[in-house]
Amino acid sequence: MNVPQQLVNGIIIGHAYALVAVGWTMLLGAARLVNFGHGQMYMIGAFVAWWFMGATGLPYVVAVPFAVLVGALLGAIMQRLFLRLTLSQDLVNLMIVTLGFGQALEGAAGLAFGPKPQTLASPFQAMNFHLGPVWFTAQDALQVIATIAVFLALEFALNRTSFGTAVRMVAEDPPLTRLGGIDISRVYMGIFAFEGAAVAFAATLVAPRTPILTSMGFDQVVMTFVVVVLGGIGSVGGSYVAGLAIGLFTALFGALVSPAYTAAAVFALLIAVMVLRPDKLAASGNFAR
Amino acid sequence: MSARLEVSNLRVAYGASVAVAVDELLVEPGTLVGVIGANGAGKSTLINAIANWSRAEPKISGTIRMDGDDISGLAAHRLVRRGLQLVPEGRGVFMGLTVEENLRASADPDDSGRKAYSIEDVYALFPSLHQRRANLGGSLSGGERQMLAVGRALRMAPKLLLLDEPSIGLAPRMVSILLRTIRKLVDDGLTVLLVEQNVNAAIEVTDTLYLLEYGRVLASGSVADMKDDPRIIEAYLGASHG
Repeated sequence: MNVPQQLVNGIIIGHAYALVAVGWTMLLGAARLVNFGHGQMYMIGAFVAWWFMGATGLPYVVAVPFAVLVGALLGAIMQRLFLRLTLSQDLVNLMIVTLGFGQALEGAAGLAFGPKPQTLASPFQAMNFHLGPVWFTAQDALQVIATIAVFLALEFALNRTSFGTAVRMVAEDPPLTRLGGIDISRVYMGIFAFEGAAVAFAATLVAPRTPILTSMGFDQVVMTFVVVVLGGIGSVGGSYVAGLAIGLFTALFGALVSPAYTAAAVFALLIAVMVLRPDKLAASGNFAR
Repeated sequence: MSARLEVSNLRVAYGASVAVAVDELLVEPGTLVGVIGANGAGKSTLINAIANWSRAEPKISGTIRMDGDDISGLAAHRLVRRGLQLVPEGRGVFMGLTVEENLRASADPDDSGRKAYSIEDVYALFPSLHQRRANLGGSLSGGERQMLAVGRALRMAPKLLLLDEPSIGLAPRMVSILLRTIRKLVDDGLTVLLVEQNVNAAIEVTDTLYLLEYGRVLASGSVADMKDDPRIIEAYLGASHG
């Protein structure tokens, strides 16, 4: 086994998991919303970028911000649809409606983009780097750097800006936030838009590696859910660490045992942590740290 | 910086159960009005309804005017920006934010002409908060949390401050410090409506009292008159005050 290569693979996969999970983590940490439509939002981000490139002839680097913008709009629509349930913290209904929202997105995407697998072509995917025994693409490097940048920017925004403080206030106590003269529906709008934008951004960076399908959302949601839960349910820093850890675990388990059983092994790990250390999984009062 | 509050025909109901039915309540500018009553009398429900704020969702009807303007039904955050500020019972601070972050975390008032307390002003009023400015709200003592809650409210330039049981759970010395500070704010021109179960403490600082029972006003008047009201003496002050 080429251990350095597997470690690099793990770091790349781990950053992909963390980047895909960051929007959901924010949504869960700040709005206490379990969004089972997250995977389908990822799929929409990838397909919007693919469609934009085909329809306009513009390059990948222009398609990325376009997909992010559409993702933010999708998040804003979610806020309008789910705000009442979010405010009343009707968690069971929220899970059901987000699951339904995801299925509706998948159906709409099937109608709009067709059933065939497509390729989101990034010029960076063809640029290879060989460093001794290790190989990776420019797309891999871009995705790792972008993930670190997103997490650092989020850390800064949450802890150093007035909107970030408002998000932390809403996360802790929405009614009390109102008594700060803050319109919490606007704060929720920002959180939902970030969720949509972040997952679309993740899709444009991660999806060029494999063919994209309108049915790929559910697979994505499953692994992202594990990252979000293992990261501490709504902890931003925790989801980065959990994404990286699961990425390394996936790469090493795949190389040492078999890639076929990786998902099962990750879920066994999740169950073990939930049974043995449930106290570490509760959403903390300070999700931003 | 002062405001006049008029409440008329206020009804607050949870489902079919009417928790508060107050026909009239008046707070003159620059005065400290107390609302007293036993546990469950509807004091918190009343003050929360005036601020249109609640963790539940009661049905509220009636008219609330501030300086003659009908503010009934305005969202809580809009009332805050217009100068009506509630400090709720118990948790008026954010536990996960530092003292300084708690004091910085507020929207700008609609009227920039109103006097907003700077963070330094709040520290001058409550010096112990300055020493603990980098500590999380959750690590403060009960008294410090109440000071911080009042400090947060002052940061938003209130014309009318509604305080819900600020003395609850505090040591007598801390109650005295807090209520004397509130009295000082009123003497400087702020209008305050204070809900208080500690009647002895409320009588020391208020100008006017409303006695609430089963959600209705049983008696009201100046403190001097109310101190001699047999219903208050019997229920709250004990025979020695008679």
